[in-house]
Amino acid sequence: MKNKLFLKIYIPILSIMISILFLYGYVNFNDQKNSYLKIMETQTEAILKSNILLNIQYILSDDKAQLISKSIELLKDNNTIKYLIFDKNNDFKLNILKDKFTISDFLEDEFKNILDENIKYKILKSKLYEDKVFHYIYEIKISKYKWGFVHIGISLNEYYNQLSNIYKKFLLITFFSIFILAIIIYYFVRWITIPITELTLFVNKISKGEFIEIDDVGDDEISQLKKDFNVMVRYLKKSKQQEVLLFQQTKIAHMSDMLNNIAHQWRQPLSVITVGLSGIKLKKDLNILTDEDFNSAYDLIMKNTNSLTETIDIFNKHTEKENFIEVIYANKLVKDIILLNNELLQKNFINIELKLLANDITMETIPNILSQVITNILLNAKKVFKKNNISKKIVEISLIDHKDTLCINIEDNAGNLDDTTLDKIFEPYFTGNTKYKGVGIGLFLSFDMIIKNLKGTLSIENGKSGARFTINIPKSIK
Amino acid sequence: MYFFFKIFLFFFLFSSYSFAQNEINYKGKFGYLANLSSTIKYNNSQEALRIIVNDFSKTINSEFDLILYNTYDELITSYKNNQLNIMAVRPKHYLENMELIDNLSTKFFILTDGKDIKLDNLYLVSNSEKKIKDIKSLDKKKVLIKDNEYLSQIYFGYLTSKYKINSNNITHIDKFNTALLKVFFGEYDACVVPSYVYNTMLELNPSMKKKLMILDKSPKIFSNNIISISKNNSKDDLEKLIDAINKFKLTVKKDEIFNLLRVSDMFFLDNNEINVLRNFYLEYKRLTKNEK
Repeated sequence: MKNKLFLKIYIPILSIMISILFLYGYVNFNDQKNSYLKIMETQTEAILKSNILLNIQYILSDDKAQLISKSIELLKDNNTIKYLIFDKNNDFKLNILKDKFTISDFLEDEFKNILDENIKYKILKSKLYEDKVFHYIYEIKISKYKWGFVHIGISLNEYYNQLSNIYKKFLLITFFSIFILAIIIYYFVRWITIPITELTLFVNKISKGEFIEIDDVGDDEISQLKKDFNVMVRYLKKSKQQEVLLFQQTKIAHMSDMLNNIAHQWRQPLSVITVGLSGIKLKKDLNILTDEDFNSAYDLIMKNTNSLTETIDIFNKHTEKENFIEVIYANKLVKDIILLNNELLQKNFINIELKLLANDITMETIPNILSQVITNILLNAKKVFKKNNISKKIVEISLIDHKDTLCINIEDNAGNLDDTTLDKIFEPYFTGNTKYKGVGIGLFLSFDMIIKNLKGTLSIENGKSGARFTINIPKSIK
Repeated sequence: MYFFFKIFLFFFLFSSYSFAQNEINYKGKFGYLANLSSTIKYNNSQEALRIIVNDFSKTINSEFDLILYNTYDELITSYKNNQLNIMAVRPKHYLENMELIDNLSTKFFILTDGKDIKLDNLYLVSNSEKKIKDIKSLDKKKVLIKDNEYLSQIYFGYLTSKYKINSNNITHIDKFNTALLKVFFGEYDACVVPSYVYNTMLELNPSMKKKLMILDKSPKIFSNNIISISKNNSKDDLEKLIDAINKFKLTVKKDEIFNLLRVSDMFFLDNNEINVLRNFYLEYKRLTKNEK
């Protein structure tokens, strides 16, 4: 993975270079082959001419005995010559090899074909000799008299040896060149890709939240890119700081809302406690306080004190700094969150229509995060209700149990959203309204927290008469 | 001349081999007949031979001298005067001076051309299409004999004298196989060739047999060279030389050296084998003397 770009460049370049090398070698090899054949032609012609010159009197006098005798001598002295054929026009054909000779009236078809093709030489295998030879033909012609032809078969051993040597040298040079090229291309590609790899690592670190700057010395395109990246890093750093600040502000606002909620929740039990205590005080002063009255007041006070404690516990759970994973009941979790936001809802005359699960389920999640997300959605609904001046404000919260996930739909009746808003609602700072602190970052943070912390999804769409947020979270985030 | 060169080469290579084996350390003089009135090329060969011998002597820490003679008389005089330990001669020289050479020599050996043939026989071959059925039919016919081939000449002379046929129409030719081919193609009526040449040519083209007919076969007595070992060699030296030659023939190196010399084998001749040749020659002399 790390070297993917390096390999993507290195392998094609090396392949192209190797292909060029082999193509060059192939062309060169063929040239060498043809050159060697040309040399063979010249050498063979020289041998044949000198031999013909020495035996011309025997040729012209058709002295077969001398021709055979001299040819056998030549064949025995020169191992490269495999056969000689004296082919007199319309007359005898002497086929002479080192170990046999024949006299016939006809020339073998293979040799006739060469004469017909009007070529001087050919590499061929004939019935006369068991192996392939370099077959060369020379015409004996004196003035207008055409005696015939002398054919000579030259061993190809030397030719094959030469080719083999060329081939070996070519392979040696090729493999050496490939080795050198592989090293050169390796360093070249490395030189090209290292800055890109560095940038990739750098960007990867940025994506993980490590806002470090890269060394951008140089004046080439890559250095310019690094410089631009560093500018982006500085910008992102600043944005992140602002984001953290906004998050803190949102958190404080959330806390403020929570405190208001607690105060609201406490108001009734505190009144009951006050009334209870005042009642027993009055009865005591009038000496009509019975044990039964006392116990009754005691129970009432204790009950409401417990209610206060419970409210504090819920508040604690939903405002903890650390995000602890807890095993909780889904229905209770949602009811608690609504309870926490009770003050907000009542104050803004928002009615909650809660559709809980018929059979409650347990799940492992972070209540604190889910609480913040639902609160943010309710706050968003509150603002849109106000903006759109909705008189009968209803938020429907419904829970749906899927196989491995819990789906929470939160739908308001504040009117449908346009497409731009739907597309950008989870982007940071997406709002023109700066009247309320934290606006524009709440839903972005919610979206981020659902994905990162709860490993779920948060989406929005238009419902029947307003926006419908859908939270999908796994029943277990472990 | 090539023959003498072969003989020299044999001694050179053989001695080199023997030295390598560290079994003998032969010291001797080898008489070699060279005709200085011959070609320049040959003179150059002599110089080359001398250089090789000098190098050879130094290399083997021994003395094996090549002595070149311009004439046979000089060669035989040196041999007679115990100035040589080994001498190579043509059969002609041996046969014409066999009494003298036999008296001076203790042992003979030969280098042969034909494979697995110790002493060769000669064939008188005719073209069967010429209607020559026997030797007598050869009267006044065109016969081919190899040029400078003394043995062929005495063999054909022996036959013409014995069968009293006219032998004036003889042509000399440079090669045995050409002679045979010319008879095969009907250009000549008959020729004298060694049996190994006849057999080799038949191997090259078996159909030749149909057109060739052997009129006469000589006894197996001929060789184209005779190498005599002088009696002046001590018994010890002679034993060393014979022993080394015999051992050499058993080695794998033998084939390589024979191939360089272009000979097939080498043999010592016993007295009986020499006697057959001597007797044949004496019979030839007797017949030709009677003719005169």
